[in-house]
Amino acid sequence: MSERVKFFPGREIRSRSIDEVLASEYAADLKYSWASGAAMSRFLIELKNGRIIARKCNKCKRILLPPRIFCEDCFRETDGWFYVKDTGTVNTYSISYVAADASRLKEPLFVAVINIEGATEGMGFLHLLGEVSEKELKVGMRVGAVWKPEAERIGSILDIRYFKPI
Amino acid sequence: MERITEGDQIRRWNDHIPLQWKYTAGVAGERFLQLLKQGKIQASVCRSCNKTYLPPKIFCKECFAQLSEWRDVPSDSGYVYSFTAVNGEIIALVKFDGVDGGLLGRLRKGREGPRIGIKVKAVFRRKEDRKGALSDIEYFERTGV
Amino acid sequence: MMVRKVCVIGAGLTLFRRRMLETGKELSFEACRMALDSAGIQRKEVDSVVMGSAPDAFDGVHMKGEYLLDGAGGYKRPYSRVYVGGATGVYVPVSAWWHVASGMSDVCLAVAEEKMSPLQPHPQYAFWSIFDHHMERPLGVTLLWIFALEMRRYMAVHGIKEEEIAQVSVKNKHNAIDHPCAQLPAEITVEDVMKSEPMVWPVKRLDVSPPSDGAGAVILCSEEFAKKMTKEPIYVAGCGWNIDSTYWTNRDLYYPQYLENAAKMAYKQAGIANPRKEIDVAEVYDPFDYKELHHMEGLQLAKKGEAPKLTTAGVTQRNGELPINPSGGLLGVGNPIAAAGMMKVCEIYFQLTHQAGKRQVKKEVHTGLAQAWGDLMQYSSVFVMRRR
Ligand SMILES: [Zn+2]
Ligand SMILES: [Zn+2]
Repeated sequence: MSERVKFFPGREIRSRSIDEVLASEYAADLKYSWASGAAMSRFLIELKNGRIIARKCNKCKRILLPPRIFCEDCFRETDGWFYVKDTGTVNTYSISYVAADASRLKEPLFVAVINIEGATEGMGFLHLLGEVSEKELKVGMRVGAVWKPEAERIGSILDIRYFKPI
Repeated sequence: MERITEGDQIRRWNDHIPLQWKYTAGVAGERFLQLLKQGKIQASVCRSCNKTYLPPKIFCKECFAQLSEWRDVPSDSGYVYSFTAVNGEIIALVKFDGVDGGLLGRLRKGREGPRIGIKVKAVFRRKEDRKGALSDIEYFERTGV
Repeated sequence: MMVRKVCVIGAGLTLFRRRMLETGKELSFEACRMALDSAGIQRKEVDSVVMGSAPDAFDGVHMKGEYLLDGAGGYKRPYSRVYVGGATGVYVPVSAWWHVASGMSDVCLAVAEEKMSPLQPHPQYAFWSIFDHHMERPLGVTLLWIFALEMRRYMAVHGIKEEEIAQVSVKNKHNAIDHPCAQLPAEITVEDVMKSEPMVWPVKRLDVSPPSDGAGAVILCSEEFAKKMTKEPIYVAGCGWNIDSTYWTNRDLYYPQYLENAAKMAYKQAGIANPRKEIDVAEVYDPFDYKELHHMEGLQLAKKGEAPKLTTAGVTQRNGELPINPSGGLLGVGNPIAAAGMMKVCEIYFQLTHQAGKRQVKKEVHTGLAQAWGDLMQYSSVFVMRRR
């Protein structure tokens, strides 16, 4: 270190001594109602119908999924709707042992980015994998959507329960 | 993009974000609150800028020096700098003679209504009820005119 | 470019710990005070201040930039907070650079702070709300998913083994033993990493850096001012920053193209044609061990898929041909988000001025690079410094 600086400042509180210092606690529960927007509203309605819909851009010729009203590359309005399949390939996957608050899950979750067939190569979304064992998991495996029964669908990404190997 | 005209074509998603925090009082805060618990108000001092900070800081915001000197602020040397009424209570910003900054607190209602400039003193809770928090000052009340 | 030359003349850093007594303002003050002392200047000589801090949710104070102001030395100065997620720590000196390069300021204080410990029960929880509320949150997404998915893709494309990646954690935690601020210095083995608790496979406990409290700061100034203060000023040679799509499931997760773009922007300014030869030491962002490798490739310090091999060959050790993260990185020193990037900038400054003590790399160093990464895992900031 420079001659001018002799030490690095700071006072650590070890976890067992947190109760020995004065601390104040607060909690907030922020509630939101998010508008789904033009593209996502249609996407959710189609999920309710048991179909996956994308948008296409006539300039770069891409089939965009998740659908959006603009092409981020050409930076112009997209041109129309396009149904894609409810099958795809696993782009990458992992096995989650923890929940969002860092607590341990009872049963691990298999999660994957799935490239959806019919969309431009590499276009896909995040979802869960089911009816598959840890050993069978592979990058590149073909999977298909397992839908909730029509009566239970509400227009949510969870209208697809998970994807399973096909 | 075609315009959405039917109400049932619009979707929304409801959710919530629950968060909790535990804040340390900090180096200056820890010392300040421990002193409040003892019924004392202290401020930190920068001699070169002639500033006295309340709540105390470990640094002078003007010259950015590390502050190690603290001094007592007599609990009866306050005056009402400004006040407002919230849910039937009077909340005052109390300043102290020769001190920069001030403390927020409840003002005990007297026979006369509150006025800017009146002299007040800090009234502490009973020793066993103090927690090392700003609320250890139960209220401010007007001192003899 | 019609810009003034900019120098770095001081650096300051607090301890990095899981929980500090200091408030965010106090941490900021300690880092700034130390940076001013090391530069030998006072706040009255500072013309402007750039502050960086990641999401407000950690500190639990909304409008954190405004909250931290007094401790950051910004009182009655041109002051702003910049925020690009995890990449903030290296973006702060980039922003300070244009304050000085433009001629608007002679001296600009760049400070980054993070106090993650207030958020209960775990700071990770704040990250849940960065994900899309329609596509991702309903699935129960956690921050670790995106890293695990990226790590898996990187491994799959190049045929990389978990053990090769674990070497990075071993190296960095070892390097951190010599860092006075380090939170998690340790002598561990590849086997220890492999056996550590799985979090989101392939990410295991010891693949991950810890959440921390801490702050860091550097002083940037004009060449003229620097020459008054020191015989050997350190020059800012190049800055770069770039971002990829927020539709992260549409990206090629195996390669950080956005970082290549950011690096090329910085190299162009610095006149660097062959980074592998011309960069002597680099602090690349390593919140996870695989990210060091990923980032070396994006920075063109290794070919695609080559970084694990260089690591195995010892090239990236402190006594190696291309030392990477001699500080101990985020894996060893700790990860107070914005402050962690700033720690890297400080380390390169210490290395170039021969103030790194036991951490000083063996080879002679002239040009060093600090890099950070963040937002929805698609932002990179790059800062190149040079000793004349
Ligand atoms: Zn397009
Ligand atoms: Zn002062």
